[in-house]
Amino acid sequence: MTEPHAAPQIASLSAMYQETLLAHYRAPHNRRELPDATARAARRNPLCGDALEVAIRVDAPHDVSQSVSHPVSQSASEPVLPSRSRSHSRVQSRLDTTTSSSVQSPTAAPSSALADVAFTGRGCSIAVASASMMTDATRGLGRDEALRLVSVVEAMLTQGAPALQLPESLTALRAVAPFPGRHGCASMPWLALRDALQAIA
Amino acid sequence: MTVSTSLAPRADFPLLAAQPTLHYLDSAATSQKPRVVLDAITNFYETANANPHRGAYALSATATDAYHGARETVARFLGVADADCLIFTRGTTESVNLVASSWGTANVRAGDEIVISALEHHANFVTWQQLALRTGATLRIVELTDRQEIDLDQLRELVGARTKLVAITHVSNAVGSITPLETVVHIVRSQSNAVLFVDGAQGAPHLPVAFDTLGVDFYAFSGHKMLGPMGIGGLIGRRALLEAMPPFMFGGDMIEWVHDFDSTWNVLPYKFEAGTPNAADAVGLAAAVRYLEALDMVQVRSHEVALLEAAESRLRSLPGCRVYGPPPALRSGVLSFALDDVHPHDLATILDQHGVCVRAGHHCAQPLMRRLGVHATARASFYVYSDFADVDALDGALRAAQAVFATA
Repeated sequence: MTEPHAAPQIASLSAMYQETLLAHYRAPHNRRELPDATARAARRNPLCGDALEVAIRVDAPHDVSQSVSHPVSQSASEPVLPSRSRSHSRVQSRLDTTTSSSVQSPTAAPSSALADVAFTGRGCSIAVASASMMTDATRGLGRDEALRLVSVVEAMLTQGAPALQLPESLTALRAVAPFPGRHGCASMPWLALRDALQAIA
Repeated sequence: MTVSTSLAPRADFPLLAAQPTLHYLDSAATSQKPRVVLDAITNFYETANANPHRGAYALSATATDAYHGARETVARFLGVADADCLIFTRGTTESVNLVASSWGTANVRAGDEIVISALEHHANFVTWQQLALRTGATLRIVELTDRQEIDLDQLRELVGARTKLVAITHVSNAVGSITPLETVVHIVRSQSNAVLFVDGAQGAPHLPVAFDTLGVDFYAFSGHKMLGPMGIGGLIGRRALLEAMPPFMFGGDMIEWVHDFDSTWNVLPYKFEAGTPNAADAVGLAAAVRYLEALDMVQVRSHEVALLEAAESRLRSLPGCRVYGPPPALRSGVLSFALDDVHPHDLATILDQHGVCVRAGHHCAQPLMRRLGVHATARASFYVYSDFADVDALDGALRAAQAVFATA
């Protein structure tokens, strides 16, 4: 007889724990400090205690030497996510509301491109792999391009948006989409990146 | 010892019967419900539904009788002779808050001390932490042994003349440690005049409990963890304490007379049951405890210990597996563990794909997780419908998870 809870997802499971994600988890790219960061933002998932900090450095047309740190209030830094399918919104919105964030940034020119993206912290395989892939995929992007990519990843996770919107280097992340309980893990670094990007607006 | 069959037939539980390959190992979060409980709730709504205590017509009297009968059944199950000292609440969390708001606000003052333990669920931790902050009382936290048991020596040191309240769990939801309540009662009674509150959320479902002989002042429990429906549970208290306490919530049923500028309160248990009672779920809970009585709580306990021993010996043979808590004989049916190199979230996802439901996270016990030096653990928990096939499935799924994350 059929197994309503397990059989259809066995393939998805092996897809989620495919070599690409595991390789990023075992040897994450750009998991390092970024002492000369233009902005940094941390996200925590209180459900599991995982915490990642994303740091970005932008190439500014002019050297901006004022390094005034200004913590952004949690509500202000809470990203506005694109509308989602109903079936996922409950899980996702819970993760959103319980994911606390903090942002610190000096000022920077709005047209800046991401010269470097790095992350630190602890997370499960999905969170770490997602962060690792994100640092590769966003380096060199302009601020608005990077923000758009955050929204695309969000939409891909929660709405199953078409793969063609996603850079090839991120297609492995699609394997997380069938697991609503893990969307928060995959999106945590991206939400931190969004916080950092918005802080340099 | 092997447990090839469950204590309660899976066929009695519609959800388990419909999903024969499901291995539900999260009963510490909530239990599955036997058919008799679901039928009792449906039967109440189909044959007895009216607002208890309100109408002067036969149907309302039927509803009232059903609700009172449920209270007496649950009181008998938990060893309470005076059933009016069993207040129905939404569950343990509401019961803790009831005592903190009502008794706590009336009795706890600056300079008093509140003793809790590092083992507590957030409901029995934060509630007292906040009462202390509100009143200026001092919060004292009893630390744990290296097996995550309450350190009774430290309890002896902390309890004294200033201690106003000791609030302690009967069974840890996160690691399963059973608190030796007799010893705790002796310490508290011989060293203080403190009130002793026990969080029985994980005690009542798994151990024989007789409130009248326990010697504690309050005992809180949740119906949904003991085969009953969600949204019903209770607080048992000593009559003298309950009678002296001010109401927790105001509304219908809990009043005696309402004057323009003052009111008087109804007797126990109604004083603490404002508003329309959750009669249907109380009736469902009564069906659950009758089911447990038929199984015999002594048998429930030995069934869980047998499963726990079997599962633990399997886990200990896995490389890089750490099991938390004291040995199985001193634990309720909870197996809290971690695998090196596999994050609990990843573990829970992979286990889910093998039809094995476990909890991964901090188990609403962040103070305990800090002391364990971890952010989360995986927790498998057993109950009356668990069997050796569940242990097999857990073992197999854990090996599969290790294979996924094995670094070749």
